[in-house]
Amino acid sequence: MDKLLKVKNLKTHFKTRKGIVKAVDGISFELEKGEVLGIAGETGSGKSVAAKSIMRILPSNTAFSKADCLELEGQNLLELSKSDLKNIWGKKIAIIFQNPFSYINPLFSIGKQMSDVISFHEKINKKEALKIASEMLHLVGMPNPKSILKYYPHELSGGMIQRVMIAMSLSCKPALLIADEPTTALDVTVQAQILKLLNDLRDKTSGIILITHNLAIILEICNAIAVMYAGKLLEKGCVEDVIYKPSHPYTQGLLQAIPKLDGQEGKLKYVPGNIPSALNPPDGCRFSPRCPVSLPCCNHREPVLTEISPRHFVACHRVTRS
Amino acid sequence: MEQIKNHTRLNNFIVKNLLITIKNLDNILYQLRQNKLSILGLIMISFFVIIALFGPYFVPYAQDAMTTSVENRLLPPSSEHFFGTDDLGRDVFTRVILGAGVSLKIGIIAISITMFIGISLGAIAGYFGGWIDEIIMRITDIFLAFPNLLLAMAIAAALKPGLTSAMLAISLTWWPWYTRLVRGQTLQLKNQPFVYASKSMGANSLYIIVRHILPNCIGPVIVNASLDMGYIILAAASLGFIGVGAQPPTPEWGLMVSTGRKFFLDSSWMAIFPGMAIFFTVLGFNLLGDGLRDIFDPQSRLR
Amino acid sequence: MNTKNNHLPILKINQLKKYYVKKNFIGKMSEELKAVDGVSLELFKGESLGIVGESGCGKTTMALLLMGLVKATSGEIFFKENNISNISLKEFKRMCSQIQMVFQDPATALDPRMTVQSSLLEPFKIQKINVEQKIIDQLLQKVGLSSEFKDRFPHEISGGQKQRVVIARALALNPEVLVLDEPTSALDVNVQSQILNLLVDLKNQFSLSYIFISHDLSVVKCICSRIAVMYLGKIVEIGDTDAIFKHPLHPYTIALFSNIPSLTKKNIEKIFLKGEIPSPTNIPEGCPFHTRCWKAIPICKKQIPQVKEIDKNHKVACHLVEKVKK
Repeated sequence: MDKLLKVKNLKTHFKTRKGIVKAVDGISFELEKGEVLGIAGETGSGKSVAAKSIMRILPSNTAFSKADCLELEGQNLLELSKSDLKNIWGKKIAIIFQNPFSYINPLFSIGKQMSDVISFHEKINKKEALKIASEMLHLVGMPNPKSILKYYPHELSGGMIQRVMIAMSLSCKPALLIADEPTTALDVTVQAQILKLLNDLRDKTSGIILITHNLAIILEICNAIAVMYAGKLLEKGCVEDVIYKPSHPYTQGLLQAIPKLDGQEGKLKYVPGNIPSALNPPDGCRFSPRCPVSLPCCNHREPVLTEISPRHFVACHRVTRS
Repeated sequence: MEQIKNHTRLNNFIVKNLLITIKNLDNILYQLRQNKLSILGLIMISFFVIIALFGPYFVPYAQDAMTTSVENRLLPPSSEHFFGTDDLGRDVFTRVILGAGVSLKIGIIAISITMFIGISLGAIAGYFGGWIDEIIMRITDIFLAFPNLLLAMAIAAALKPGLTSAMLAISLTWWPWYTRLVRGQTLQLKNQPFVYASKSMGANSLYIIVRHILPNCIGPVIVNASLDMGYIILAAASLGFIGVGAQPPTPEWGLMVSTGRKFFLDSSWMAIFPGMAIFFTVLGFNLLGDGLRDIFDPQSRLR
Repeated sequence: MNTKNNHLPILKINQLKKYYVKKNFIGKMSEELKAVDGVSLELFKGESLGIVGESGCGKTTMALLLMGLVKATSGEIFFKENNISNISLKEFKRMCSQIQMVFQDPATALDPRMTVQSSLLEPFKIQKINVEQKIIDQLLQKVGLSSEFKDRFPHEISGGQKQRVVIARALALNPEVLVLDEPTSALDVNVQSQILNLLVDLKNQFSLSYIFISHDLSVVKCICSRIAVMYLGKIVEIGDTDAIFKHPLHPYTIALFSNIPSLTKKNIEKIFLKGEIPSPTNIPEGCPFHTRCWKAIPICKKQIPQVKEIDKNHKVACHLVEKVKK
């Protein structure tokens, strides 16, 4: 089957005064057509940077990305020039962010912003672009799409703006949609609506990457999951496999730390310690300083992602040995 | 006993804030280095300050600055008189160097008074709001309605002409910007959780303004002040130029340019060198201020 | 998870209202924002009462009202029998040490220009209490931080560590009640667990009483013995945690619970509420929830439902529930 996105050994380093920050340090995964992949990780794991690196929207004077392979529908994204990228952004890859109000221009109406994007990519005039915009707004469940086009961002709520952002990003039918913590800033009831929306609109795009720290959300709408830690992928596979049969100690720890809705016995569990600094990551397995079951070799040799069951990969010496 | 305790507390407060500034200085210098022009500005200003502070000890004709010497009048630049002499026979080079000290003094005193008035009014207006805010802002608006140089001239002319009047006049026209700036910052800061936390412990308004609001406003104020120093020195020179600022025989650059005007056709050096000194100094402050503004801009704020 | 240690509540709120009025330039009222619209609650010593709700429900305003940081429009707050609703500044300074607050975002809850030590000394300074240096070490120890954090600035320590400092500062004056406004929302799940464990330990160790405000029901379930659900400034349901989770009665509570993404309960039918939360400036007539309620009946549009006690400690404000029990 033709892969939608192929990422092999993606690295993104930031040049700073204190040294090189290795935010993403060699991640590899593939996205099939029609798949929804969830990238899970805590703050500082590098997941947002990974998403932005795939999209190539990081500032080029401080961020350096390289990969053995970064292909979207067969097209190498690393070779593209700035002007080529402008044609890709919005048309082949679209992204929605966490705080909807920060990513929409407060000075222009919804209609203007949406039609700008559509007319730039589809090369049609404003009237037709507005028509498409209106259809998209209807698709995302906005009441009275035609009148919403005239509204300004401050007149809508957070949930509605997020729907507008989803509509905007899907308006040019991109091959890949990246959603970076799309519901973290929203209420629970609104979050449920937005997640349902993303699920319903899966056919409007060939693949979705959902980035979040909330594993329960990933369980809701993703079919594949990749767990990221300190710039590396520790475990990846089908959502059921990874969440119900987690193999990596970090994944296990993370799942145990989530407060249970149905009966929490005694104290909450957690993984002690902190995420290592991306400036000087530890040798060997990045997680070994905090790992409750680390082996001596974990401090010297970095584990590689190995398949332990069909489509379930883990980067852990202990697991691969047994 | 109380006084000693208060004294040490004030000292601690100043020392602590100084330490914070020094800690940040390291980062600031690094960031400044990214901007070549602001480094140039920094060099120019350092040069200016060194000349102003130490120049008087090294000038060739220290005693000459104020005394007339008719036989030496209007000599062109030479190896004995680098910048020539003026219409009263005084060495222009010496006077330009001494003028740096005068300008620095005016600048520092004027900006200090300006900042004191502006910051106090701004913090009070922003924090208390309501009719206090309205009154202060309307007064600010009135002062802002006048072109500031004209207002400074008017005030200086109304007072007895001299350096002190010039400083006072400048301070009374420059404060409104600081009030506006600090008021804006205060409006944002007063709703921050750490201010609520202090209130919930029983802190009164004065405590919150002094301990929390003012220290957090300092950044943009310093940027403004560094840009303003140049303009204040220019304003002082302008006042000196029209005769309501420094009075003869004070070696003030503006005054020197003004006296040099009469002799410009034949002895241009009298006006040119003080003029270039003004230009050099103001440019230096501008470049430095621009660089500092880029650093203190919230987007590029140090994390 | 015991609830009532004493007969009398340590904190009692009676029909508390906070309306924000926007006047137009003539002075006439143009908009009235009903942030808190008639809330009555009791907090008993040693218990942890959770207040849950979404944006616009008024829970943050509740926190500010309890702390005395905003003045109520009407209603009363009693702390140990003393009416603290309209006390003078002097009185406030005297008794504010009894109720302290932990904030949501630790980064903005600490003055960025003050070291950890200065922030911890601040409560004593404001209250003019002379203390020795070692009290800082004691406070840090209480929250599980070593003394080396004394001279650090907020931007030099992690989110979880910052929140511990905020908690330590809140405990400095030995309060009896802590109001916690979303204390773990800004933290990662690992750090959240540590902070929640810490809060439980502190509560037991120092006999504290908590008002725990959160939108995260799973967090509230671990730490609270009773829960109050708020919607548009009113309490729609209140009761023991177990009772509310096992048998939620108010339609909003039922919908809220069904919408929580959970790792375990995968088969719950999600109830998607129609429309958006109405603006607090334009609260619907009758039951504020009726515009989104799938069970609404005609009376819901006209009459505000009274809070009725359905079960032991379990109260609901809903016309339908009343009807069923009849």
